[in-house]
Amino acid sequence: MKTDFDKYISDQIQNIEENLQVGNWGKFQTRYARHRGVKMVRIIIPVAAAAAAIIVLLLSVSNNIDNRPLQLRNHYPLIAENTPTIITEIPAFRKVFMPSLKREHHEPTISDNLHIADSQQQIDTDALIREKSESEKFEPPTKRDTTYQSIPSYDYFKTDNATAYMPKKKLPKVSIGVSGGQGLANRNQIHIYQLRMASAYQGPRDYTSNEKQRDSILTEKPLNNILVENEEHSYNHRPPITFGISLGINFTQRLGLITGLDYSLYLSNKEISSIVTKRNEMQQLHYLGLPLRVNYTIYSKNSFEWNAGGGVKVEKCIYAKSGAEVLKESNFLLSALLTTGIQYNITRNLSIYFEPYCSYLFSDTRLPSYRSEKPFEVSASLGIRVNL
Amino acid sequence: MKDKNLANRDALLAAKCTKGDNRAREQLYKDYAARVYMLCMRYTGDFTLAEDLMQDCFIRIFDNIRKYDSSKASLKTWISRITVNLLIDHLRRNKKFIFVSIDEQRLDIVEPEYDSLMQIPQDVILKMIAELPDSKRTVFNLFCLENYTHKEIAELLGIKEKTSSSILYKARVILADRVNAYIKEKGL
Repeated sequence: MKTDFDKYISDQIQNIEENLQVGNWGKFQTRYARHRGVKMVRIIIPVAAAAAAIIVLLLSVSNNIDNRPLQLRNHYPLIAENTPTIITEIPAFRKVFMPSLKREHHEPTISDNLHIADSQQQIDTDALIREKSESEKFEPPTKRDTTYQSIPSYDYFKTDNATAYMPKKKLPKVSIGVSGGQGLANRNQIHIYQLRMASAYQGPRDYTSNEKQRDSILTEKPLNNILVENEEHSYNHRPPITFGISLGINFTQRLGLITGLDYSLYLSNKEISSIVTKRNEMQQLHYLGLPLRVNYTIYSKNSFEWNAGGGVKVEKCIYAKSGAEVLKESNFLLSALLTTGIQYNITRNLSIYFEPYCSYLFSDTRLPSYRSEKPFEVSASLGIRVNL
Repeated sequence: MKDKNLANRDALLAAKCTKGDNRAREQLYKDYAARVYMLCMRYTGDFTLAEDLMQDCFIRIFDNIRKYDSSKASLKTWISRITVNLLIDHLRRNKKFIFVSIDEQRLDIVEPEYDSLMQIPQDVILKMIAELPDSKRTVFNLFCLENYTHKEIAELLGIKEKTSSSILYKARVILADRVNAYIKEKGL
């Protein structure tokens, strides 16, 4: 049971709390942003590690399973006749990850540097090939010769040591793209109630000897001169419009890195109303973004490719305006991206693509926008890509 | 009516914070900074540590604000509970609690006169609470200032209800002694 003494202490504490001025919001905001960053990194690292593991797994599968010997067999009846039965048919699901199914630009012929070496002498493919094509001679490539790549054919032929060599396909190393897109979600309507404090009242200045004293009073006790007015800010945010150019660098036939420069325009209708006034303003935020993501081609057939990727994007507001007032947005936006898309190769060097993507914004913004109110965004971009 | 308005205001503020509205977060921080700081101060008795812990508390508050239910408690109560839980965790982690069963003969508390009490400055009262041993300070704060019952205190701290009651009694004796000594010293 509480005593009078307890109640007295409780009242005293209440009084202290009511009159206490503590806390530094700016300092806390920085700390909280860092905390969120750390928290997100704790989520991203396992996800990225899992994604990397999957990519490595896919790559290893795609490197180890190659159906080109099967193609050779189909292309060259001579070899087919002289090679024993194929042990297994490649399962359909594994074909998805086979690089050899990608871009069938190359139609190999016997004269096109094909060589089958068989050390077990059951099949003298060299001799057979020479018979058919006497004018074209092919020297087996040495280990240092990077023009050719060896194809592990032992999985498919009973002749365990048979090896086939094919010229390496030239990969487009760099691609350049131009894209544009718009958020897919609906408009976002937000109301913000704001207590605006007008600036301290300043009457006609009389430069008397007491000027310093008066100024110091104004500084120390500004509340006495502050006029308080309640304002309600209502925002109607439009989905952003984004244009960009991208640059892709392929490391392997399937794995590449995509970066570039994106421009985004965030428009919001802002309604400012108070007891006596009501006005509308258009808020414009112009952002430049730098995306960096890993892209992986999951499946390709004929000229179509299906790819997916993930990465990050850093954006900076380059210009902000509300009505006639130029605003300042100093915070950087950091977001994570996950994309998937299809690409159609019109020619070997020119492609069009459509990429839906979702992104999540980690950073806080000072100015409210579609992005700050909806950190999770689903959007899509459409563009052309030039493969160099 | 006032309660309903307060609940609506709390719910609106919490909803905005959940959406990531920075202004709402700032508003909440400014509204409850003093409350959280005082709790930290009272439980730790250390001004510098209290500032650090206050920031930790707000991080936890903003991380969990989506769980706030305005129909169950006011935002102030919810924030206080989160803060107290964090502080208890902190004290427990740093092994500040030494609970011993107090079987000694109970002494009568000589409670100070109310008029004399009124003349003691607030910072002196705070200092006296801060100087209590950790376990006594915590039980005293929970019972007298946060209105926890002995049963709740026992569950929170993992002690028996009787132990909580004994510790509170001892804390009151110490505080009353110090207040009386102060009154005597200053001639109030």
